[in-house]
Amino acid sequence: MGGISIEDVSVSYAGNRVIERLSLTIPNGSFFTLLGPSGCGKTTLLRMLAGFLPVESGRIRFGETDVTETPPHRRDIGMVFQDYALFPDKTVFDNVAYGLRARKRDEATIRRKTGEYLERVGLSGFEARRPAELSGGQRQRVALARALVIAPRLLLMDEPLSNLDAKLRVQVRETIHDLQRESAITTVFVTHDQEEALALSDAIGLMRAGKIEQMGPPGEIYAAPVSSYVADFVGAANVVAIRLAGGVEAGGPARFRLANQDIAARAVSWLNEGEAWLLARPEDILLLPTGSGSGLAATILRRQYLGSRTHYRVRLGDDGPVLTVECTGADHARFAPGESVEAVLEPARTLVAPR
Amino acid sequence: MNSRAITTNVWFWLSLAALIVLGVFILYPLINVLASSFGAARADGRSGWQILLAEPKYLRAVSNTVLLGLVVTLTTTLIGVPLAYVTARFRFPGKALIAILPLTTLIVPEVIAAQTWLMMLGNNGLITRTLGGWGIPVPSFYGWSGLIIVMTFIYYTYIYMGTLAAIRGFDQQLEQAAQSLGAAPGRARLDVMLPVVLPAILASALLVFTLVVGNFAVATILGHKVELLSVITYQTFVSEIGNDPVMQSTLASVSIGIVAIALFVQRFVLSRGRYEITLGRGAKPVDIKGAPAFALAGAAAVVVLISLLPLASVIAGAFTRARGPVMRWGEWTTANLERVLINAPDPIINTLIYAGIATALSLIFSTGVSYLLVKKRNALTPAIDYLAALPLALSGTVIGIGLVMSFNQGWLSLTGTAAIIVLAYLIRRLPFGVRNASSTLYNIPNSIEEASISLGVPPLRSFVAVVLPLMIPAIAAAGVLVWTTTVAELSASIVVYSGGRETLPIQIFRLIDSGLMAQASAYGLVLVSIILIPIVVATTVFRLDIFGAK
Repeated sequence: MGGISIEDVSVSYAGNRVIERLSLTIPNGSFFTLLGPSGCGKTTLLRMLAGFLPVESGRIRFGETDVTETPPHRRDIGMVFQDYALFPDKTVFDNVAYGLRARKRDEATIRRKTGEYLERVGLSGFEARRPAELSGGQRQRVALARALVIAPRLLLMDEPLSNLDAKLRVQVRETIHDLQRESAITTVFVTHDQEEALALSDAIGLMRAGKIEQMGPPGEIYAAPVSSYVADFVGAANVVAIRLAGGVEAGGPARFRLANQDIAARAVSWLNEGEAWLLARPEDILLLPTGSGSGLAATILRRQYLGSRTHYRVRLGDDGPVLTVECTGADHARFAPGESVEAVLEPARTLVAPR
Repeated sequence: MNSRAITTNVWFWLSLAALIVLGVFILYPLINVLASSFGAARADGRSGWQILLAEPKYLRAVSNTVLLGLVVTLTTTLIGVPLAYVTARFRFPGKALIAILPLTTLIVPEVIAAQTWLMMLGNNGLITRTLGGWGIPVPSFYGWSGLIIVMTFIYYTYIYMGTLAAIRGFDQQLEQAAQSLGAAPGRARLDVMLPVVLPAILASALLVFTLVVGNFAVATILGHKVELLSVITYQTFVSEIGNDPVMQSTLASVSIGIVAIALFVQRFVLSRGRYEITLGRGAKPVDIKGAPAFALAGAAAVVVLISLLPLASVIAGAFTRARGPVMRWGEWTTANLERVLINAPDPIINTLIYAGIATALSLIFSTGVSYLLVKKRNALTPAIDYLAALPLALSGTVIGIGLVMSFNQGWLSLTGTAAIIVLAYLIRRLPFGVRNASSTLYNIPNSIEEASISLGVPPLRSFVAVVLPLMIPAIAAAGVLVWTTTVAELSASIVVYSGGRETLPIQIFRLIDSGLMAQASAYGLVLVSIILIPIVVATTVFRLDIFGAK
């Protein structure tokens, strides 16, 4: 059985073309995240998979089945919403049992399955409560159990963690991770939070203006962004304007001058001569005391001590660009503002992307 | 076949059906009224508008109506706004009494309010005769003084409630911010609070103005020599000379025009300063003690007592022996009640049947329409929204005349049936029902319905299984309110009813006209009970928040 495939799909919403001829395949059993800023079309794509939004053109297939014209209640999906969408007048048990009852399972099965999934989300003993008597994290666990208990063909999650506070977010995130891995239900997860995406996904589709800018496993998205947009959205990145003296092949070394010094970096794609972006993650820049002789001359402008690490703002040369540098390890806070240092940009992990 | 296109179409066809129903029963009668005012009246070929401009009686009615509307709007504002401010900001002895204010306007129909004031201050009134017996002359209560006093005490609660909600919702931090920037407390309040609360005051003032312009019961019972639009419109309608369709349409059109102008002025005033009003934490009421507390409590008590006067007098009147129009105060009897309950219960039965059917239909129709308006918007829903709100701007008399003109004969002949009374009830209360159901639906997120659908339950069954149960408390509260206002309806039903189909307000009105106050009071007591019992049951047994729904 094949996975979920979206073939050449376009969607308009309120007269605007929100998704433009998008194609995408999600392998069976995998956890796929649609990541992007608000308005990039990720929720539209999710609602289209659910069947709540009609597609203008293109096909959607769940395995071999074409579901493009199938109404949502016949798509066999589970959905988890940002605002939990629990039925407020029903108990926790009745909420979770709702989909099983719609599928006309016998009462013994309903009782057993509901109990099993409530236990899995750590809410055994909460059966008789109503949603108003639960915390936000508990509510989202109920919603998760409700969507999973029917063993859907596809699990859809629309920013399920964004209404939770930071600590709960991590806890529920772990629950989602474990349950999805155990059940191996194909999952599409929508978020604007890159940390969630990196932590949970088998693959991430990073969206921009209705299109997928880059798709790949989290490690690839992070370490090898195809554009300044991806580098900037996933993790923190220093993005500096540079000029290339000549064209460079994809993967080849791009040489350029920065703050009156020669630097080399890897080209993410084929680059023309002229303007380009230099991409360097804060943790990929090394600071050394002056006189080490292997880096660019730089000055510390500001130091922010964060316990396990220190963030510096550093100016290259006398009037060059200002970079953010993250130092860890022993003595990470040893440089003081005003101090002259040397900054090393590792050639293998410093990238040049087209402008 | 595209199944999604079909589901989309179901909502579209339902919208179309709703639009047609509203078009036939609201727009078509309205157009009939407006159009026939341009037809030729009488033998001399003058149009209704030419006669209106030529005859001083009609022009006086127009100017009297506008003047009365303005004066009562002013007096109600002068009572309602300070009362709301005091209630919102201070705690004083007896404040709980003010909480029953909204109840008094609801449970005492206008016709009973007018009647009971007459029983006290009319030519044969208890107070008039008592004071007269002591040699103190009491000025006539008929005409301007009676109209203004009675309407003021009927309508000030609308201003009070509107203003109170706005002041309670006003974020006190704004006022504190103004003070922190150096404004004196009083000045800060005026600068910051007034602009935020003003739209609410204006909205309720406009409501009062339209209610006064459309008022039929008080205007007819107390107007006497003061010509008023609603009165002469009705008189033209029932006139012995054979009813005068052109003149009645012209006069009805004038009252539509007056309300339209008022709505326009309100829009204009509000649009000059548009703010996004953020609801914040309202100020906590402050304790006041000593002389100011007594003054406040005293003033509030006077207002409340006057508001309760009709209720007290209708009870007293119902149990007072009467010989013809003469009330023998102090002589108690149950004869009046026995008479209306045993010998002549028809108005009671009629009222229960007509209002019961109207309330049930109103809830079903307004819930359905609101669902379309809020959850299934399409190209037709803005028109539905507009048409459903239209009766707000029409007085009962105008709605009644429109219905009679439109359904007198032809393909849908309703005159003389009970259906036209139910229809009049439905149309008059429709905007309220729709507004109420819509605001409930807005508070139910779409995701709840979508969650149910995603779990495999089809859309219509999802609505019934998860959305409807959440709406039930609000629908029930709206049902109680629709019921209480429908059983008290007079101005439209008196136009459309036919002999043998008298409702309680109609019967009371006729008895007042004949001066039979004791019997009118007995029917009045029954009417008040019919109103009060559902309210009491709903608020105490089912704990419904009826006044929150308003």
